[in-house]
Amino acid sequence: MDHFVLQTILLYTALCFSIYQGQETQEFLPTFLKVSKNLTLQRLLVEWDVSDSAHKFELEMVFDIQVSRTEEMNVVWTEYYNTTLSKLKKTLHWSWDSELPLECVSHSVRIRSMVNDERFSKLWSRWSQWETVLGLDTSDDNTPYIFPEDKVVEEGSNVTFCCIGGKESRIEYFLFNYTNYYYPDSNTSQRNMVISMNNVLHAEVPGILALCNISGKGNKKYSATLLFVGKPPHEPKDLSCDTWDMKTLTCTWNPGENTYLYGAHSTKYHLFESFSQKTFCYQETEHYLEPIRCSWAIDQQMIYNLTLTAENPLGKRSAHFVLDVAHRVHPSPPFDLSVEHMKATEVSLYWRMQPKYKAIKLLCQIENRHPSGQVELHNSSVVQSNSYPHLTLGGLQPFTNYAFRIRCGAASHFWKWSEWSKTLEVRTNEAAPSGKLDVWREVTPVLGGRNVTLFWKPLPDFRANGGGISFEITWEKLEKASEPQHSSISALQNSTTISIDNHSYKISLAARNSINSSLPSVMIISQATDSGAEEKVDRTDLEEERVNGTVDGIYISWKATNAFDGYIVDWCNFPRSQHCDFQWKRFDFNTSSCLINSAAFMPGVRYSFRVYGSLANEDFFLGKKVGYTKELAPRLNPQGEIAEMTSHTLTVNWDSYPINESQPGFIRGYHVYVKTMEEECSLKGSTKHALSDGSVLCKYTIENPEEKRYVVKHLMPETTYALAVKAYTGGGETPIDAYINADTLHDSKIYLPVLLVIIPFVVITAVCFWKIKWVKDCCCPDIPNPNRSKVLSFNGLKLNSEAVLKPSDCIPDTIVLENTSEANTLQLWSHGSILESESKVINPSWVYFVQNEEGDLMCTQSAPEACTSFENLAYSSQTALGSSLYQNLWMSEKSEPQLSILLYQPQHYIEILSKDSVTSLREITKREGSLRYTSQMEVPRSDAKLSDLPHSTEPMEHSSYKIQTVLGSELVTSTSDEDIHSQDSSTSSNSTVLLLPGRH
Amino acid sequence: QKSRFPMCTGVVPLLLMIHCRLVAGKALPVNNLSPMCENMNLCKLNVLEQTQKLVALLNATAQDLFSIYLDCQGDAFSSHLDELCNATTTDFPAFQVNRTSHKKEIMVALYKVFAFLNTSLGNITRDQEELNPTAKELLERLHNTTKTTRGLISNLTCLLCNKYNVSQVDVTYGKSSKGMNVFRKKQRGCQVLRRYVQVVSQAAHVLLPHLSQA
Repeated sequence: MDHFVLQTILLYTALCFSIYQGQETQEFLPTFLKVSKNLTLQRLLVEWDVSDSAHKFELEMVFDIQVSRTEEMNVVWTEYYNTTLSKLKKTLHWSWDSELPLECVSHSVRIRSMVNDERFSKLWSRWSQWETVLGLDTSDDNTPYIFPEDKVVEEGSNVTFCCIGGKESRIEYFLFNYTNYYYPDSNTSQRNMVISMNNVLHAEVPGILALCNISGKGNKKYSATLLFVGKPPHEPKDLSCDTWDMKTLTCTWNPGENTYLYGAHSTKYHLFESFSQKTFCYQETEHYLEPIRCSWAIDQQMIYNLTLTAENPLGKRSAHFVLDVAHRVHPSPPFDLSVEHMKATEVSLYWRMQPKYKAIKLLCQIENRHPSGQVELHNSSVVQSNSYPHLTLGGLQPFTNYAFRIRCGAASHFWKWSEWSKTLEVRTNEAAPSGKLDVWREVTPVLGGRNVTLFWKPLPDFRANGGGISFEITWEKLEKASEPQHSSISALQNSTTISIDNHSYKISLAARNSINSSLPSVMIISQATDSGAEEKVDRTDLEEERVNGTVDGIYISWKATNAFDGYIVDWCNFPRSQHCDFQWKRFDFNTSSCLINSAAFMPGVRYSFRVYGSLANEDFFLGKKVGYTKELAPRLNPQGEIAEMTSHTLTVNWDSYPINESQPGFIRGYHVYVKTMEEECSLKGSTKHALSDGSVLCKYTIENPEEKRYVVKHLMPETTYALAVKAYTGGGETPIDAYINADTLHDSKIYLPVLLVIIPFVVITAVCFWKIKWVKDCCCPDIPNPNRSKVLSFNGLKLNSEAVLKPSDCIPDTIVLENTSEANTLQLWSHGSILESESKVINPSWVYFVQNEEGDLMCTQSAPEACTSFENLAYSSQTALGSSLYQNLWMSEKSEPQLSILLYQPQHYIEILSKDSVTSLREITKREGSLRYTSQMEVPRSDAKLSDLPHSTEPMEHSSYKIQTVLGSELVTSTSDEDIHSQDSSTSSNSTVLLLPGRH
Repeated sequence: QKSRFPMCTGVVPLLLMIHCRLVAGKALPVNNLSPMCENMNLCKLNVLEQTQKLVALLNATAQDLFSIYLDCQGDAFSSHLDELCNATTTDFPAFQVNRTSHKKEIMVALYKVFAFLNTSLGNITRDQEELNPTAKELLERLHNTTKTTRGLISNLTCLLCNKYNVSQVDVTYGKSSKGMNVFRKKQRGCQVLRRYVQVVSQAAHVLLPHLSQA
């Protein structure tokens, strides 16, 4: 023992001494340096060793490692590698991953060391020799290369390529992703080309071509490879595992987003279970949008701890989950769904399930889809999967199609419903129709009775409950017992007409199918009075009330009373059509208005609504309403015609214009438009109406649609006017598209004063000229020559002393015609022979007119006395003589034309003017026939005596002044001498010829 | 210095040489033991017409197949077509018959061509299913062309066995693309299909006069 202790002390002393001795000179030079490369990983593997003594003392050492490229030994990497030496592992390892493919150039490594121990001086050892692995650029091979080959990189990363040409070859350019990169001229060696591509992106076509074009020796002029750019795998989504039979567990998941890597580089999945240490599946992504499924047998294991790993060359992702199979039961869909014990309102459904060999408690749900789309769900009780369960559903509608389907889920630890079974469509059995029909009628009186057209439609609660339905109508008299009459109508019809007499009738309507009839709907048709007068009232006798309509419908209202238990409104959807699509609507007793609308309603169509009150199945007509949903402007314009025209007026009428229901709106009135030559409307009583073209019309409004005639006044004579008549409704009126052109007449009144002055003057002048000698003798007698005067001879005096002319007897202002045959010839030449012959019957009476101080005419009367009249020729053309009596006219010429305005008859002047001003009076007389002209005064009746006339000198009303008035043929007028004399003073001042019977 | 591909200096060249020796040769007369003519019944009457139609069909669809193949390899292949896709570099069988050639020689030449094509199409289809699984139209056309080619080989076999008494034809199947890098797979497919377009056109041209005489 002592010997052993002594030996140990000596050895330790020797070691310490040796360490102490080598503190400055001791180095542990790396030895046995080896360098190799892992091309798959592009990794440089370095091995070396140090002396055994270093390992023996388990020294902590630092190694300085340098990596250089190319023959020029360019150091590209330096790293300090710290390690504590072990007595067991002598070889030291270090690796280095190269960004540049190791094939591209030669790589060399050297190492030096340093002991990191206070017992030793911290000095680096000498460098080891460079240890080199050669690149292909040093080979004598003529084959060109490109590296890396088929590399997979993540999108966005940088990739370094190198091209190696054969010996004595040159790299011309490098092609990557459609771009050429040329070799830099500065590079002396063109056999090797290294180039980095930054931020590479995935391509649409998998694999981006990288190509080196080479010139020089060798057959191959290029080297190429593909770069695959993609993404690492995404975490699997929607991972779900379940079993449908407790025998197989199936897991599904979605791959997530596209990695752009396919085939060998695509994402692979494996599912690892940690309890059993089994990998259940190894799946590849066929398409990133398609779910991946993996199944395996459950055996006895119920709890699974699963790890799903997705992996591709760029990385891996994992998802972990634990499941209990009993909580993941997803049954398969039930099958063989069938019906047994079908009834009208009840059905029993049977079905089968899986698995059959192993009972699983399931809860099933039956879906019942109605024809209307309504869906009902019914849950079954818990059933065993290997049983043949059933479920009875009640409350169904008879004769109705139903679609049933069923699904099931685990009764305990419910996980998911199964898929739905196949749909089973069934129709329940028939039953008697339920509910009632809504019946309405239209009564039309006919000879000896009435035709009742019945309309019906199902009420909301009505159900046919079967096929082969028909409608049964029964009607019978109410007053006295009679045999009911029946009629059966097919299901295709919804109306029929029956004939009844004028008694009250009860009509019943019921639906019938092969099982039974529904409850009847009853209505009572009241007894007709006066051959159906009641129904006539329905249609025409009551006044139509206009109602307003909107796009939402037509608003109908009525006065609701307690007398009725409901109201009915009926109408036609297509009133202009033969098939008017009769409609009706019922309202309860407290409703007094409604908004009637229909998809068939059109703007511009007048709809007629009849309102009835209903009481105990009997209906009473309350009123008729008409209206439009929207009034439109009339489509047809009134056809205006010029009915009459004067110099200042135009009368237009449009009698034939309809204002009935054919119009697209209620005709509210008319507008008469007058276009004048003037730019502005100046017609009195009109309003301006500007057209779109800027022109202005005169507009007259007639607000009564019944008034179809209008007189446009205040027009200019001999002027052309354009007229248009437009009807307007609540929808307005259509634009003016046509005019009626009319010319006002010539205003002949302007010639009246001229005629009144000139014609008498001409006549008088002519007469005077004709009888110039007589006039001259009368008015300007020759100065008698006393020598030749017979007066002075006194011969005549001898014969008749009374005939001696006395100056006092002369009436110088009066022409006196003696009652001689010569005088008779002074009768108006226009009277012709008749006058000549009748002029001998001297018993005339005459009326003459005198003019008072104001210029008005006064009527006086003279006593009948034989005379010879001399007619005023200025009015001769207007004069007609009676057949038996003379009328002597004394006309007072008036200068004021207004005297004759009101009763002036212009057509005679027109004729006069149109016949060269001087038409033979004879001809006029013949043409006028029996026309007789009255004087300018109001004329008494023919049987009136002249004495009855007021002998007044008061002026008469202007309105009664008739200068052209027809005179009654029987009229005889006269005046007394006194009257005549009393007028002398006034008449002498006028240009008047007064004929007096022989006073001279 | 060791070879970069040590296997190339070993037994593999010997095996390849033996393989090529086995698959390259001349057509042999009908031999009842020939596997080529096993289970071969009588040809249908219109087998010649069908053969002509199948060649015409392949000729009509070959260019589209090649164009779609190019589209699916990326534009670089199209833009460097002569460089990357030189059809003369393939081992596609020579088609050295013309209208004056004997019918039998034509049928043998056709058989060699379409036997090679059938195998190559299998390789190309497999490679593209891996490289371009989403290129559905290309894959569908490759499948259809393969099916048509098989039908054509069946007709040619029948004609050779029954009409021309040829029981064996030495054919080459080309190199397998397995083990090639992806670029080489694409390139080989391109070269084969490009050459196929040329050869099938010649075949259709040569075949028509003979068929009309038949």
